[in-house]
Amino acid sequence: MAVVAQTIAAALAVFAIGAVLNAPRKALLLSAVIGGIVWLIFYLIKSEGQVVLGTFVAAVVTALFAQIFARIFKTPATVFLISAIYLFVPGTSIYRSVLGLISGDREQFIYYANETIMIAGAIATAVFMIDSIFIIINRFKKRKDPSHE
Amino acid sequence: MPEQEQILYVKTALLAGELLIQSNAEAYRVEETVQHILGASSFKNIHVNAQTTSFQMSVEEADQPPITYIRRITDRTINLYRIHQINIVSRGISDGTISIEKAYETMLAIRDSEYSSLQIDLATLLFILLILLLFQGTFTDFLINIPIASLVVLILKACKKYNIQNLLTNFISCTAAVVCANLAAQLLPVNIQVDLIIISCIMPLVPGIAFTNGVRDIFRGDYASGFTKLLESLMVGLFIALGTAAGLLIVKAVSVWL
Repeated sequence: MAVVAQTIAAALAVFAIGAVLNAPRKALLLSAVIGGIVWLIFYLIKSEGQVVLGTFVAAVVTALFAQIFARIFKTPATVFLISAIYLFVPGTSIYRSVLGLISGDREQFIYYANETIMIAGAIATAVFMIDSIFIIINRFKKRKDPSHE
Repeated sequence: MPEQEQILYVKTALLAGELLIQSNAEAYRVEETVQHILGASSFKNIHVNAQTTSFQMSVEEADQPPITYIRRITDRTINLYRIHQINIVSRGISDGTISIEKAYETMLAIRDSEYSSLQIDLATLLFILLILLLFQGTFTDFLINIPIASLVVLILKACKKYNIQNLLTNFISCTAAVVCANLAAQLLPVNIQVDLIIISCIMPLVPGIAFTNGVRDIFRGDYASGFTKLLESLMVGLFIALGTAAGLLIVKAVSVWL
């Protein structure tokens, strides 16, 4: 039951943040669907205690969906990617690490700074991986402007 | 190619680059879009260099010395709608489906948003409340967070209206969230998770996207713009934390006085 509630809440949250970031109307619903699915994946992996791995897998799936939808709807992948990935970005860790820094708690600072770098690295690696795969696919198709997606 | 048309190509490319950087697009996207637009003209030796705070482009016409244009960009906020529209225009130009006159007109008429400011405020509020649920907040937390989140949204709106600098906006709204959440925990006879309420309120502000895009830029080899974005996210995080510290000090003072 909690899983279903989490999935629905994640989809709605992505819908809301999409509007805040001015995503085009037709992209909102699709981003929300992606958001719900990847949060479910993340939630299941996170319950096993693997936050970074969960973020990585979720980011891979998000980037994959974003690239596919970008090709179907002829709009940049960023439009889907940014709103759907917003739930995973290490905002909380950045906040907690800087809070540790200014309150003189070295241990907290190091722990959360490390977590921030791990999570951001996981997301960036995942997105970069999928980007590269699609660039290679485009080269094979010999399209006129592969970079335009 | 007539001179009038060349000027229009340059103007369209400059406007596209400027708008894209203002919408917080990645450096490579800005460079490629400007390349695509200018690639449809008769210019040779096109070079584009996009940074997070400025961009330069250089073009050459046959038998003419190269000309360089520079734009300085100060304000940046994520705006996916503008990125989407500029992509349509630049596709049209490089496919040859729209004329450069039409493209320039479309580019000038690009709107900021599809949504009214009320819709955006409600979306921000909804996002804060849902984040609380996603981070395992209880129903009591949810209820207590409604007025606090509304206050944060109002502060964000007021800061936008009076053109207050971004870092200061983060500081003020974070202070307000910390003070309200702590006071609610002390004054109301209920058990709430103060930490979660504060984190949910600052989620719309946190620089996670800037940080992640910075790492992406670095992976692509755009070291300069990547590090600028990392520094930007560090500054935003710093001001959010400073806001928290100020809020905690106020709470301490008030609870002594109570």
